Amino acid sequence: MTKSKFYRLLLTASVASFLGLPLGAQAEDIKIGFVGPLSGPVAVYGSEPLQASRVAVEEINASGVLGDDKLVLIPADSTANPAQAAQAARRMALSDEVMVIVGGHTSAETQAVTEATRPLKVPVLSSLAQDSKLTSVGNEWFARICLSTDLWGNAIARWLKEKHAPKTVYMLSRNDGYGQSLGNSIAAGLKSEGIEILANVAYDPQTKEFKPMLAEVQKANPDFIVISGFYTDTGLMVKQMAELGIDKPYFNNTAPAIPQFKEIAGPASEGAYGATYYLPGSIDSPKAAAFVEAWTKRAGKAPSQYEGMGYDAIYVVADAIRRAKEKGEVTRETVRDAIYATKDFDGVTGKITITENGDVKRPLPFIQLKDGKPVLDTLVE
Amino acid sequence: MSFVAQIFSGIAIGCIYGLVAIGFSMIYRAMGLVNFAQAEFMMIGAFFGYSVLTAFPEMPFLAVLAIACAGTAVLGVVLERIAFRPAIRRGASDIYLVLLTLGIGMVLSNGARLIWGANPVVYQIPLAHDITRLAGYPLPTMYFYILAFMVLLLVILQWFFTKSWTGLALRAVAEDRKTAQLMGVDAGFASSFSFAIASAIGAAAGVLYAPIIYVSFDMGAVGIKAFAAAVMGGFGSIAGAVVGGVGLGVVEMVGGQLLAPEYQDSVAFAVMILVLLLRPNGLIGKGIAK
Repeated sequence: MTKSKFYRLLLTASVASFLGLPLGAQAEDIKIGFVGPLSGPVAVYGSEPLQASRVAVEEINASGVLGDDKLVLIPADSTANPAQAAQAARRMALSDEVMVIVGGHTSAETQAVTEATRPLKVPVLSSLAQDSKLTSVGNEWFARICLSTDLWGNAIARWLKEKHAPKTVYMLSRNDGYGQSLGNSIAAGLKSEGIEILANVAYDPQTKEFKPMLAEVQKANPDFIVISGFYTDTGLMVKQMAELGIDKPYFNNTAPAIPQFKEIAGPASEGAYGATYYLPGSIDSPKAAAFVEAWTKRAGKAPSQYEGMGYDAIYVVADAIRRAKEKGEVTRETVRDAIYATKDFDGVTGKITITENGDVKRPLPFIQLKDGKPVLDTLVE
Repeated sequence: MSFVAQIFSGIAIGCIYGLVAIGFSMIYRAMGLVNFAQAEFMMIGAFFGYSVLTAFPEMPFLAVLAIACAGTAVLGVVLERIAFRPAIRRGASDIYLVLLTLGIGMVLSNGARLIWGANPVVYQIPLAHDITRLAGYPLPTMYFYILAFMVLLLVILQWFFTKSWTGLALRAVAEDRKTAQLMGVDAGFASSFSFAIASAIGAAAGVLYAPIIYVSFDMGAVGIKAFAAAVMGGFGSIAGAVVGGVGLGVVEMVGGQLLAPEYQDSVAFAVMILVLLLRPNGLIGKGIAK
């Protein structure tokens, strides 16, 4: 050994011991990429899951469930822009050397993430992206813990038939990927349940005046109204429905679970039906109850649906890494296989089973706004 | 009923376009400049109003309106002093100044997101849910306030630009800055004054619109329609801005309903193109003469 090499080694060792870093290969950092909108109009879909993911990583690292290995979260802001999301995912796969990517969160960005990472063979797990296309293309590197729009739409149609048995339904769907794929799935479900659809109107997401469209709804006089959109536009819609005196029960997808919906719609939001990824208190298990209690203590409020889902996504990934490790080797491939083998995982948002094509079997809570609070209507298993 | 709904809704939404369009025309008339940050001033004004209402929930709505307008006017003057005046002094071309307004708009929008967050906020006042029936058709009472405010503003601005010395001076600066200065007009004061008034008008639009919808950092998106309305009415004409705004609103609502609601934006802009093909200077006034 030359003198300079010796000094370099000495320096490395002393810096490493000073920083408390391991010198050998005993303990490993297992990197998890996180792609989601952290800014922009739909920042809530990324920022809340990220916050919960951080808590989950902290807990898992402290628990020692992965031995000496530690999870390291590498977040990136997609601003819900597919190009930005794909770029971040590619960087994570190539230079950050992540084991798995959690995200994207909106459907469009997730599509871009999967297209970028599929050839690089990186497992991707999404907690919120619902577009059915994501799992119907046969991508063996993608899985999700939320229901696809197809499964979701069928569940809504079944719930409607069982709980309300309407003869006629009027549908209003936001004219974008989310609104249209959800609207089409619900329409297909309603048809198979034998419920007549009076109209399925696509509306412009930028609109703030829905009254001409709603006047048509009033004229059609349906038994039930099904709205598929964001809480912002549907909040205004519901407010204007009340102004016109349309007094019909309506289903508004996840909007009633979001506090701003009630603020925008005002008193008209009372009685709104919806479905949500997760409702705190709806899952009857010790783990779920402990989560709600701990989160409320930490954040001063009950966990939101996005926080619950973000939290579970990290736990599902960690559980897959643990199982891959027990089998012998933690690689992207073994982790992917372990994610696909997830069965009856006891998540805080309910039992999670990943199915053959990367979709999920999980409980779906239907809710209703009563006295301004979302309460459980039915938990569809 | 449905046709009445389309017309009334069109007029109502058109009033908002008109109010923002007045700001566009006002700045153009006074400074010869297209201010693409105009709708962002509306957004900032709406947030100012929200903050005032949050701090003093009992405050009368008119006082909230006045405070938000004053606050936004101050912001307008500050931006004029730190961005526009130096740029004009260094002989920036019109295209540079327009880009400057675009940049300021983006900074304002992102700044608002940093301060007030990405989630929309709502004016929790009884007025937000007040309804007045017109020919049996229910309209938010707020729309009548907007209409009244717009008529008042129209009269005041028309008088201001044609009769008052300050208004005439502003027009002189817009026409020929150097000559106006030689005639004793303080061009610096003129541009500060224009920005203050235009910002305040923008803020008023925001505060009046907020109770009907919600306030969010991206609500300035309405600016593109307001700009189209201003152009359609005859850019620089205050009355034209109102005519353009209401016209665009009605066309959008009726056209959208005739075709399909998802095409209402396309219908609105198709009609704008048609109007400009037939009347290149807009519906009212001489239009863009420069």
